[in-house]
Amino acid sequence: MKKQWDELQRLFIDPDVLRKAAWCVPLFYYILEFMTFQQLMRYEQLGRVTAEPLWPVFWVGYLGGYAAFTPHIFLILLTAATTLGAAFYRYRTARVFVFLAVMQYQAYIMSLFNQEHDYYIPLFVSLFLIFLPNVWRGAPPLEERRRFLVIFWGAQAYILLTYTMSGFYKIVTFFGQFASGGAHYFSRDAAALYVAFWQMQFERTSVLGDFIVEHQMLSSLGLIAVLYILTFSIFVTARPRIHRAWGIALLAFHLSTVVSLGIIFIYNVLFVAAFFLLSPFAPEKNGWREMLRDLPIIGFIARAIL
Amino acid sequence: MTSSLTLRLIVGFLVVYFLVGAAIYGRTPADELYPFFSWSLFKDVPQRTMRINTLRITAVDGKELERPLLHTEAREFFDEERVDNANYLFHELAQALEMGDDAVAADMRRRIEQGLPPGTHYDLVEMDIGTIEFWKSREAVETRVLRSFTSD
Repeated sequence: MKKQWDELQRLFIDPDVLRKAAWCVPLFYYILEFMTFQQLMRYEQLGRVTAEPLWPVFWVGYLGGYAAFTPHIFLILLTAATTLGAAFYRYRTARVFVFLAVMQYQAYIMSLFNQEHDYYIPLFVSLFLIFLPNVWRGAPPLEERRRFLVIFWGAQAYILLTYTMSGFYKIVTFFGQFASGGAHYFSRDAAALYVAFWQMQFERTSVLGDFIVEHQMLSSLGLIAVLYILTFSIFVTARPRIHRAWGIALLAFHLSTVVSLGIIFIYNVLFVAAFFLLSPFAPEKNGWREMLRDLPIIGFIARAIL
Repeated sequence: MTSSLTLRLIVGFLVVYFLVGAAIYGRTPADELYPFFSWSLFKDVPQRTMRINTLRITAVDGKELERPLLHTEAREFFDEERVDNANYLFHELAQALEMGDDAVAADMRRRIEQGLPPGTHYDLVEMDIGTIEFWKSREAVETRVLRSFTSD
């Protein structure tokens, strides 16, 4: 682990890594703009529901006779901020505006609906990116270049932490379900039960739903692979050689939720692609042995035999 | 701010974020305390047999239907786009009725009825199901009517 950490420290001052990271930042803001387009399509839905506002949008309760314009206000704010962010991401003022607008919009839709998780990653990544020094003009000093890459790495670490937390609570829940004698994460029919229940909940079908229910043992092995990918994600932050491979693994996980449950996490797919498939820390060339050795847990075995 | 301090602050933030997530886990609705979230998504493996609450429409606009329709079978009467997370609301309504919590029950009804035309008669039902069997056939082991309502 220390060796990998030392390697990361070296990459924090690598000018080539900085150049690549500087290209990934606008990509994040373009994805936010794409998200805005999707939210604009929800206009009618937003206007039909009312609820108690969360604390960042307490002021909605004081709109009085203008309350009917609430969806317009939030959508205009989000559109203005993300468009400015996409165009002027180099300027901190624009990045602050994006963060504030994302926070306002997220709090608003979370006040209306349950299960609105799409904007957590944009919220915290946009918060991190506020503190980026401007390395896009001139020749920035070494300390600024290093700080830029440290912050970019922090955004990557936050994204991976969300996956780790998701895996962690599956393990916590497993112990409870196992102790109570019911179906649990490692049950033979666990994947089939996930498919049946969540397809009923969301009234959806999926490409592999029938297959998973019919081949329960095979599909439950897939669930174990999912647990490994999720839980150990955070350990990948300090292993740049497997950033791309882990990005592919996370995309495979998202693909699995589409073909099994019929649930798509489209924005996560884009963030994983921008921050890990294009990870500026990943080396251009990579040997499979080195990558195997860097894998969490599996790496222990790989290092012993390779 | 130096890059070393920035790095320490980031690591500190990630630790705090994880710990706050752990602190709110199981203690707040949906394990969320804005802007923190435990990310405990899809953590429970659904059980093999279940008791679920759902909604059955019996009459619309004063006309009784030929047979009661589950909300999933009655898309022309139940606009799910206007009712976020309908299954959760049915469950909460059933819980509120059992606990005698009139305020929550009224709120749940209001949210459910945003998807129903005024004057629709509907039953809140409780079903015992085999999870995989119900997914395949939509046949419940047993169905009980908990309460009947008419939408405002």
